[in-house]
Amino acid sequence: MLTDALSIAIADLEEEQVAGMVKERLASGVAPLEIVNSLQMGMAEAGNRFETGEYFLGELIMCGEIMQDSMIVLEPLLIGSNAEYKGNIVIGTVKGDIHDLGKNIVVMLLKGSGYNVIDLGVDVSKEKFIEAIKEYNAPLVGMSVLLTGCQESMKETIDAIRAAGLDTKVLIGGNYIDDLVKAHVGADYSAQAATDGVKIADEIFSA
Amino acid sequence: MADKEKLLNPDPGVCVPWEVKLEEIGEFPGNEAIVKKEWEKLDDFAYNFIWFWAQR
Amino acid sequence: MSEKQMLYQKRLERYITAMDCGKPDMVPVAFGVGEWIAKYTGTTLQEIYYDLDKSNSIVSEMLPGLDFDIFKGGPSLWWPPMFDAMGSKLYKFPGIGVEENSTFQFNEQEYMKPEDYDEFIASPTEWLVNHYLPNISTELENPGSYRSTVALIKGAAAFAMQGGIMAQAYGKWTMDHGIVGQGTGFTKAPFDTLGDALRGMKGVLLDLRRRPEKVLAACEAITPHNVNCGLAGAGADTRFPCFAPLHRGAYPFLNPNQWNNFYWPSLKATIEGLWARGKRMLFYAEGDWTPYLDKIAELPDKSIIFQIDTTDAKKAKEILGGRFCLQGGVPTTLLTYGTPAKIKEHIKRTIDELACDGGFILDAGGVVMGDAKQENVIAMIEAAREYGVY
Ligand code: B12
Repeated sequence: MLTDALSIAIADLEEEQVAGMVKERLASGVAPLEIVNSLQMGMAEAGNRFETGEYFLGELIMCGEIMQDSMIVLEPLLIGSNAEYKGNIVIGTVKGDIHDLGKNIVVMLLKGSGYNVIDLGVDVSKEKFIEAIKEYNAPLVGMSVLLTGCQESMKETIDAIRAAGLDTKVLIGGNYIDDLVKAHVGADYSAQAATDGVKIADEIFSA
Repeated sequence: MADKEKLLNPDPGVCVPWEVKLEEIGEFPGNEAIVKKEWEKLDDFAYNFIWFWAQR
Repeated sequence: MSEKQMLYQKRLERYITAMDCGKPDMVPVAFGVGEWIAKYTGTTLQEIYYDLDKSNSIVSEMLPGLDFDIFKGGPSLWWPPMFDAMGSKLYKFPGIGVEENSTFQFNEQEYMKPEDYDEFIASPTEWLVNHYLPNISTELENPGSYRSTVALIKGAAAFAMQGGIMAQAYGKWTMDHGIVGQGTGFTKAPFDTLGDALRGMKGVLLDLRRRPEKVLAACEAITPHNVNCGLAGAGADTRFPCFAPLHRGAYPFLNPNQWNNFYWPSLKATIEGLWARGKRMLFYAEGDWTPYLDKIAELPDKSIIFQIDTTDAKKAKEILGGRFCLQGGVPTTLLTYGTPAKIKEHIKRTIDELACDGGFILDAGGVVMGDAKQENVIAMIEAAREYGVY
């Protein structure tokens, strides 16, 4: 249950309220990072509401938009403050595929749960995945694929990660993903729902 | 630009309505129906081309 | 009547009977040659997309020996040269923008801005010409310029050329192989016209909150045009449905309130407008439409063919069956990961469950892409014949 008024406002998609509260809190000296945390908790709640069927994609995208607008104000103030993250997760939609709505939800939930998420966007090459995993020394990489025609490029990416000697855990997700696909591409974990992704991340990072 | 062109708001399947063209032509010594039919065919082609881009 | 003409008549009757919810002599099967063909023919996807003659001759080579009824088309959806001529920003095609064997990609952007709504609503066709075409085409950046005029001439010529080449190819396939084309005309739900190409997915979803009245007015303005696009011109063939890929109406894009008030009314009006002129819609329900089946059932009987992708097939049958023809039944992934044996088994079951009392066309659920295996696609057709006799 959310108790912070700002978290509640963003979870309820109250665009103007959120903008007002962010300004007020900044003016009264609340640390920008703390404000970001409140917002992320609200976003995570919106993600949960999506998973339980209370929210739909329209609501989630609105929530993301409110967050983005707030970050325009907050980001410049964050420089220098040291965020505490549970860990680094690299994520992207695999090469050839540009569907990103599902992936964006996963990013939102992971950020809301306290992870530092490095979002590589869509149509991500295996080289880019490997580079980012190395740079951030990420114990977990998430890959999204909607097109069955691009599951092969997911396999190639995972093969390349292994060939590069990286022992990063690979979590895959998307609408046509099942155990068959997971086995075929050689992933460690697969998820159909974004919330499962968070559960799996928690499992990996608490180990 | 002088004054803004008046909106035609053409119906579906139409880009420049024959009626508009007819008025501009004014005098019409021949058979209007023949000209109109072919005008509208090409107009419909143009319409489909334009909307193709919006229906991708 | 030649043998092929008789075959054509038989298949046509099968198709039409199923569309009218009747029971033909056997379950009609729909089949398309997808991007998967490239890997069996030693051609690149780029060649298939760019060279219409080549892609058509690949289809011509494939058709003999395959026994299906309804042809859904060849491996390329678009002819990129037309897009190149206009400097179109809408897609990246194999070999230009993406690798020669990658499928095309859509470049989604807000080609229409929030402040454009009023002008668009006042006169949609004029707005498209004056603003949209220049926005989506680098060659048209300076309307009236040399480059712009030349690009329009080339673009329109390409549109006509492609139309001619494809009509000729279909004519030939009908004559030589007795196959029936799935449809004529292409349209969308007005909300999808607005959300796909004009405002973009994010744009339109935000508009629902920020300027809902504009969204409604725009959908209303689009509706008569979408009826027209589906009809594909006056005097067009109304025996066959128009194709309508439906996007944002799938669960879970819109909440029930948004779906009921913003998505459905203008789509329903489009379908009713088409049906009033005797034209059906192939309601290509991409993704999951289970929660909306009751609403869809409000449509006039037989006015659509409902495509089952990941919609709950049994529920669709229960709610829509008898009043609307259903199409689908083969999960797209099965064509990639299945084996001919698994596919046969699946099709036997599907036909038992969904086709029993007619009004059913067997087809892959969604778009079949490059990953499908030819042996599976062919097993699908064969199994349909084996188990599909009523
Ligand atoms: C929206 C959409 C588009 C949009 C994409 C916009 C965008 N920015 O994403 C546009 C119009 C651009 C598009 C284009 C195309 N599309 Co499309 N598209 C869809 C559609 C309608 C919805 C997908 C979606 O966003 N769902 C909602 C999200 C929230 O769900 P999700 O992605 O599954 O994500 C959830 C879970 O899977 C999971 N998840 C997802 N990723 C991850 C990752 C991790 C790590 C974890 C833990 C979890 C997780 O969490 C999410 C929340 O629970 C589907 C059909 C459908 N209704 O499913 C077709 C669909 C995916 N598209 C399809 C196709 C074929 C295409 C095109 C090739 C065009 C065409 N011929 O139709 C192009 C390809 C472009 C390209 N190269 O990628 C087919 C794919 C068929 C196949 N064989 O794979 C589908 C299934 C339609 C169909 N029935 O045929 N498409």
